[in-house]
Amino acid sequence: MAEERVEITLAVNGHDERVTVEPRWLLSDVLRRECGLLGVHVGCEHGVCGACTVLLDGEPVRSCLMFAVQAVGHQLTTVEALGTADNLDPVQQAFWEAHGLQCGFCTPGMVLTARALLDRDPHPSEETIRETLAGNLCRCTGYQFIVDAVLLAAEKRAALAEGSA
Amino acid sequence: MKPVRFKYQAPHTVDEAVKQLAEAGIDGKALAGGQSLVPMMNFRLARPAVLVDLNGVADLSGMAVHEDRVELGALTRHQAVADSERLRHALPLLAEAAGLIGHWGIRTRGTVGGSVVHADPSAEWPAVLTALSAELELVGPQGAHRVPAGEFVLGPLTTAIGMDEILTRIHIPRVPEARTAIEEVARRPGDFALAGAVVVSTSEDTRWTFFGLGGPPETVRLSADDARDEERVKRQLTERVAALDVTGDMHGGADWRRQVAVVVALRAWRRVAA
Repeated sequence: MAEERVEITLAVNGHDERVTVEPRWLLSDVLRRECGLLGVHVGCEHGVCGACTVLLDGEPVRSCLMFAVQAVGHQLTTVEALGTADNLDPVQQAFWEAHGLQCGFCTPGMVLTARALLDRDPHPSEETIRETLAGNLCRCTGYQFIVDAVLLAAEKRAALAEGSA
Repeated sequence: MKPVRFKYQAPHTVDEAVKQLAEAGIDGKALAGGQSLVPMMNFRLARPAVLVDLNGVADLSGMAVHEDRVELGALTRHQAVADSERLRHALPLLAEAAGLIGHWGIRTRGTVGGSVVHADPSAEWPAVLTALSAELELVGPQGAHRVPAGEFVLGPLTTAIGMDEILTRIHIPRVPEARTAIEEVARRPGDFALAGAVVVSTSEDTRWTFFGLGGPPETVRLSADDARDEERVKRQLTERVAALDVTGDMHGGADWRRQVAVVVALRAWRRVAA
């Protein structure tokens, strides 16, 4: 079959990215290769590991289980939108302080899932955190410090909300 | 692991989608939430030449709660079912079952209709819809017709749907007096169920619909008289489950799965009997 390419516009991290893609290209690959967003980590490519998690209209999805052409018209958020090295998002800051990462491969997916969870439920129980993060595999930490980090992130966000109120 | 090339089609109406599927014939495949099909395409176990993406078909989404029934668009996401307060009130079993499916990042994309048509033996929806006597509305070139959920799944990954048909809506009767529950055993929350049971209990009888046993959902019915005390229920369930066709795999043999099936069936029964 002849190679078919289409031009699409993806709304990524608050701005429009115009890219030319084959319909079969996975969203994960297009975000990495065409948009240069290397924080989208590609692990298993069959929806098991959660490393490629991005937010689609604020909700976590596996970007390896969507074609980029399907993301047209949706708002995408990758870890690059969260914070900068000098100004980390509270979730990132909490992962740092609580040692919620070792090799860092699963971290973007963990951080984005945690962010989406806290947006939905600002004070999740430890059990909720564990269930929510069950969809993201980590082979280093044993999860305890990641759970601690999300609990700490909830505190940090509450303190920030109080400070700005 | 990347899919092979395919022709991508994004219809806006059911008629268009049906036409595109009919034209593609055996080379075509409908894409719903993609949480099972896309992994299979990434592994190149599935190599459709034409992919008909249903996500842009407005008629396939939405849910409606009526006095006597609930209607779900086939493209309703699992997470939308889990989050719907109205649905939780109208038919609590649906929300409960939706919360057991996969992980959050799977539920946000995966659809009720996609799960039913994929017909994985460990999937919750075929069993839940069978247990609730739901009807599935299929649309093909000849028009629409309905199939009872209990007759839809023919075997592992095999259903009664035609190559050029799509599942559009799911009609689920409300039985206000029925007490319902679902229980399953999985290695972690969100993993494939190793065995699961849906129970629907009325003043007339109690029915258990099992999933995760390797084939289509299987229903066991006991009269209200027979479903009175736990010893009796356990003995009869054990006998009936022993007669079911169960497939073992690396996670557990057939006999082990039968034991787990009885355990989850009893757990579910205790909740409706309490």
